[in-house]
Amino acid sequence: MSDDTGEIERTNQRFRQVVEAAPNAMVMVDKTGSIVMVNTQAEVIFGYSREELLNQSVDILLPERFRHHHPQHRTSFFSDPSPRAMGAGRDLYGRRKDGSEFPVEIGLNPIETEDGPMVLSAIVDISARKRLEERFRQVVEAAPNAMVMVDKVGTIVMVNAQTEIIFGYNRVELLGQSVDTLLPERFRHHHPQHRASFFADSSPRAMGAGRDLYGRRKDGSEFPVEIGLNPIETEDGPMVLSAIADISARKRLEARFRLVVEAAPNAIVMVDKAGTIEMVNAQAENIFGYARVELLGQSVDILLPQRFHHHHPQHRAAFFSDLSPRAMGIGRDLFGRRKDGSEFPVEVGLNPIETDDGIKVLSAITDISARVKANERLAEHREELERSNKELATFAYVASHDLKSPLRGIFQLSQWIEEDLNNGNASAVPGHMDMLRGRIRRMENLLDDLLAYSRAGRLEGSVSQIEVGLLARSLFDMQAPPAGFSFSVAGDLPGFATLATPFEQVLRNLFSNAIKHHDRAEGHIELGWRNDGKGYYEFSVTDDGPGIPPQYHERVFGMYQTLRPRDEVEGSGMGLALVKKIVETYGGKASVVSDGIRGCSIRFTWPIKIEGRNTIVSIP
Amino acid sequence: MSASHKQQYKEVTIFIVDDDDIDAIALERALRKLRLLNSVCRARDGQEALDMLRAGAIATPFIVLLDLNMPRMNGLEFLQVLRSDPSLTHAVVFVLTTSKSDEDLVAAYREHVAGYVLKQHMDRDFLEVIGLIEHYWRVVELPVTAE
Repeated sequence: MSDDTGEIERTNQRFRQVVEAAPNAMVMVDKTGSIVMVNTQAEVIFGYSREELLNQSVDILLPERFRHHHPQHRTSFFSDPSPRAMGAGRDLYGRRKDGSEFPVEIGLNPIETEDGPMVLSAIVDISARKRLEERFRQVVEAAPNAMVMVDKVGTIVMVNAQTEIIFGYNRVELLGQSVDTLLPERFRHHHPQHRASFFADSSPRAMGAGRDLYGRRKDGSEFPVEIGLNPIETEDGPMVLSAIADISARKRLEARFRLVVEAAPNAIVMVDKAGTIEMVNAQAENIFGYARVELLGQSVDILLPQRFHHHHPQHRAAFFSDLSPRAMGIGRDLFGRRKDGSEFPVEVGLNPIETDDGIKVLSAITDISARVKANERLAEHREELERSNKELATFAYVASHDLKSPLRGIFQLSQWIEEDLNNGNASAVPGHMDMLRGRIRRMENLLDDLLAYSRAGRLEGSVSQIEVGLLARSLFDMQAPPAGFSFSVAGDLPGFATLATPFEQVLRNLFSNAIKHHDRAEGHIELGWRNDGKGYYEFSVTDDGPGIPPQYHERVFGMYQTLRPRDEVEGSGMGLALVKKIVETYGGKASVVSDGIRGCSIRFTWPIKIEGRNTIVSIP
Repeated sequence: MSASHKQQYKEVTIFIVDDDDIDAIALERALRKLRLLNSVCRARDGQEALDMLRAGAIATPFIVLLDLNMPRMNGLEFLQVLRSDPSLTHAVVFVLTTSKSDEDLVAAYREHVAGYVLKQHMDRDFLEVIGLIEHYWRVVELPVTAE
């Protein structure tokens, strides 16, 4: 043996040792497919001993179905020998001595030897990896959502059954296609950009946060989706696994919910736990005067008057801690606040609802202004009705007494005159005749005043400009006061537009009273005024007569009430009753100021801006 | 009037409380017709009547003929003050009124009036009323107090 031979022998030896130590099975085959060398690992994975393999055809390591084409593949390898992976794209399998198969990956390396060209193949049992892959596929397949795996350039690498169902494609139609196939066209333009930014910073997340996403079916129809993205490192590079949920049903429910809310006759405002407005309906826009966009995202407090802001968070917290539908603020008066700052009474019903984003309060708000106003009006009417009923009762009473009394007198007097004439005693007759005529006049006055009273506030004429000073002077003069009476008015009496007829009626009655009930030959009557600052003038007619003792101050305003017998001072007792009724018709008040010793001042208030009467019912 | 009735008794004073002159005159005429010489006093309203009673201007025994509708203090108010005044509470009062109102009638009897007489029948002479009251004072023993 030469040194060269020794050298070669040593190299061979080293080669064998390297092969033996390789972690993979190594099988060297010659051009005819005969096994020239195997290592221990090959013995292990194929279950043959080295002796059983050497000089055998390599085909015994292949499942029979592959044996037919193998020589052909081998020939083509030897005709263009270069290191490469066997059977690119095809699944390769090895066959054990016991006939069982297992997936393999095989690397081929051509080697020139003294005995001619050989191929050294490195064989890896990939059963474990295949199993993992298979398990992954099964998991994906079984997922309740559509799962689509896409590589860096957007090519679909994997889909599951659910994907086929919701997109209407067959699996083979999708694999290898661009994922854009599954998007409506209008989104395709920006998709590569989004994908690139995802791969640049890949972390699991929801796609298109805040935007509405849509999928596109094979038939071109669209549907709303939610997409979760997961980056996956694979042997073939980074991929993204997207889980796609068809949310049509949820969207439909949401849409239906919105429609119901929108169609509700009440204002509806949905608020989250922090009091932020998340949804409002058209009615809410109407009653609060805000546009929808002005409300969404704002604190619900903008719909409340300022004075309620302080306690609202507290009440809201209490509601969230004990969730049940109920009316807000039972027993309290609630108010809403419009955009223009005005307030209006409301009724609020609260309903907790569970949503994807947690618990919300759905509040139904009713503007009860109309109802409140109607109630107020009803109360006013009731008061008015009660007053008028009382008046009617008084009327019946006085009709039976005060009106009958002069009639009885007349009857009586006529009898006496007859008696006296029959007895030839005519001396009393002229006096009785006088009294009789007096009773007739009284009767007439009573009837006139009763009529005036019943009409008070009904015959009001029209609004005209009056100068109170001038008017009062002429009214006083019309009373034809006795020579000893003087009249003065405050210098600055106002002029204003009002219902002149009832106003004159009041003054006339007060002047007539002041003169009629005066107990002296000389008297002074004065008209004064002031502005009460509440929209009314207060006028006072003051005399220096006998006055009215305090205990009678209320009585004098009653119907047919006199303080002295009519036989002494002829009067119906209706004057002040009439004044009171007229003044109250226009929202004013009448009162007496007098110590009952000397002097009397009758005061009444009259609206500066008259708006017509409050009365709806008058006695007939 | 028989002599047997003319015994030692004090003539009853008729105290008319009425604002209507004609009613007052009618009562006086009726008394004259019956030749009754009772002294007659008159007040025109409740307040005046009280003032007169308290001033001792009305000789006892007396019967009050009370109208209800009067100025200043009406008949019912007068009755209330009368009944709550220990020196006047026993006074015999007939109400003589045009008021047919049940409320007035009940209110008057609640103040223990001796009778409630309607003067609504214009054809019924005051004679009848005075006749009744005359019989009343002749038969009934009246309280004589306040001396």
